[in-house]
Amino acid sequence: MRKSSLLVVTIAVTGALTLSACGSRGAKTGSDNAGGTTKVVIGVDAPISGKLSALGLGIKNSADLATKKANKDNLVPGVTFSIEAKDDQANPTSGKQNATALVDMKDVVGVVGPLNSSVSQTMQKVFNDAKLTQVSPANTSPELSLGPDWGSSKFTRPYASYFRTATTDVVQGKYAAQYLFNEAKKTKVYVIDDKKTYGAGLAAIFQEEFKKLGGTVAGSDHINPDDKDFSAVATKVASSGADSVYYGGEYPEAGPLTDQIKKAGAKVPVMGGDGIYDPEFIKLSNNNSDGDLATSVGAPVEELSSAKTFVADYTAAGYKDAYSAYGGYSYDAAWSIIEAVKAAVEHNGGKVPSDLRTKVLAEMAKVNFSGVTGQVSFDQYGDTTNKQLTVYSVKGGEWKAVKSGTYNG
Amino acid sequence: MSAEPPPGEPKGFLGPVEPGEGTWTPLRLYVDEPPRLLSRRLKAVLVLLLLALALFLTARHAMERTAAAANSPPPELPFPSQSTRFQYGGRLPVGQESFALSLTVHNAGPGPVDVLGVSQGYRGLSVVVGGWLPQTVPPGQTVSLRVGLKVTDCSAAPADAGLPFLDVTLRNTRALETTSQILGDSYARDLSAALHATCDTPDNRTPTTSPSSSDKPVR
Repeated sequence: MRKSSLLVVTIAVTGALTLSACGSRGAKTGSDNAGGTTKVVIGVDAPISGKLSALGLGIKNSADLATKKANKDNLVPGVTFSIEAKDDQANPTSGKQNATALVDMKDVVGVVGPLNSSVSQTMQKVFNDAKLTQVSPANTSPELSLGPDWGSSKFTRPYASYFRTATTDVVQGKYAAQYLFNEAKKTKVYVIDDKKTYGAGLAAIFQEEFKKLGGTVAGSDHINPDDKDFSAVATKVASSGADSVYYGGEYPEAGPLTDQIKKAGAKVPVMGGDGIYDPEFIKLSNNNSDGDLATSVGAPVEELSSAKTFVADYTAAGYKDAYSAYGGYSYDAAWSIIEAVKAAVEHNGGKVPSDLRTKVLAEMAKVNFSGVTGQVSFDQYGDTTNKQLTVYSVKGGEWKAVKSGTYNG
Repeated sequence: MSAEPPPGEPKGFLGPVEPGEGTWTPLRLYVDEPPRLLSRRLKAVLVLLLLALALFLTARHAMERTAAAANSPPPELPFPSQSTRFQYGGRLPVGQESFALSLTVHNAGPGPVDVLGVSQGYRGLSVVVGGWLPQTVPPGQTVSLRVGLKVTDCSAAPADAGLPFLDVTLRNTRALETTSQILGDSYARDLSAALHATCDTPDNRTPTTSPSSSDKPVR
């Protein structure tokens, strides 16, 4: 009889305590078992110093935030994630050295980066030979995923280890041409590029589409990325009678270029790709860029409910530098590797496989999750299936979204 | 259990027998019925009290949840462009137009989305949507629109459609926005074929300043 009394009391008290605990569920942090036993490293390669560091630091910090979130949520029980960041300074040679170093680090199971397509060209083979997954949040050159003959619609994936969360210049360059010709009503464009893989490729795609639409190219030129004085090109633009300029390149040169073009007397908009979409462009133009245009990957952050948490978490984490144009894409790139690790562990009976790199690469093609930038998954070429982009314009010293597009092909 | 007196001794006595040698009182061991810490009544009261406490906590928990749900704002709808998916549904037989397509709209969001308008940016082309607009796409549903494209000026229209898109104006209770829906290679191929079929005669591609005869289209 005493036992049964105790049983009744125990059940009642346990029930009461359980109900009480349910009432305060929202206050629980959810990191009951954050201390994992296996260290898993995600490599990051980006220009952390140098002219493009504003973008590179955003990439690094956003990947770091993803690993912290995964650890906090104990997403993969028994695994603690961290990053190993390498600085390529936007230099292809440094990129290759970094790729080799990351391959040699046995804890590294995947790499986020790089920013520049030209840097990626030197890294792809190194990663592929080591079966180490690479996910770029920013590369837009089509040949990285579609092969050298993509222009004639002969798509061949050069490296099975290469993935990207950013859309390609095929969409970006053509969309820009249509916007400039059909909506901004510009018919005579002057095309300039920086001779680099990204810039020259993007400018070529833009130019071809602009001509197809019926526009004319008033002239074309190249600049040296190390130059500061673009007055010779600016004078040519002014005397060409062009009603617009398209620049394939990045903001460190695009900012001074647009300033000098306008000072040369050509009061025409300069348009570029995601490489110029940064507040630094406006600063470097001496605030002489109102009306200039840029396309960039993705939809505006304020339109994405999924991005709100990312922005709040990034702010709360106290990173000194902004997440910049590729922050959301870098977070999603890191998260795709984390998801692949999770799947590899789950498919191995809950234990970390000894050949985790190979298993992560095998899981990448099946990754599918709701990320900061929308639904994240990859097609047969390793390209993102989420192909959104936006036209921005400088208004009052700030980039403002003008129009967004979604590729549904 | 009681002790029987030995034979020959008087049965019965007046007072209590003092214990002495040869006399004993059997020891009763309380094995079957131990001393009770809680009486039956006390136990019953305690159980009732605990059950009442459990009921109270359950009720409070439910009330708090209800109140929280009532006080929190309704869940924010996604922007209409982020909750809808468009697809090229293929060519449709043409009427007065140069080209007609089926445009499917799927609403993956939690609230209805209205399609207010469909347009396109190419010069020399106009759009006619079959049926009526706006059309509401309920949550989880797919609606097909018939979109006709008419070449109005071959000299201005593109020779080929490289990356054609349709601009779609959408509205839900959160926002009204116009976004480009780039419908992919099949749409580009089909539209290009239609443009060639309509405009590939030499007269159609060259702007005519003074039409020489009435049976030639003025471009």
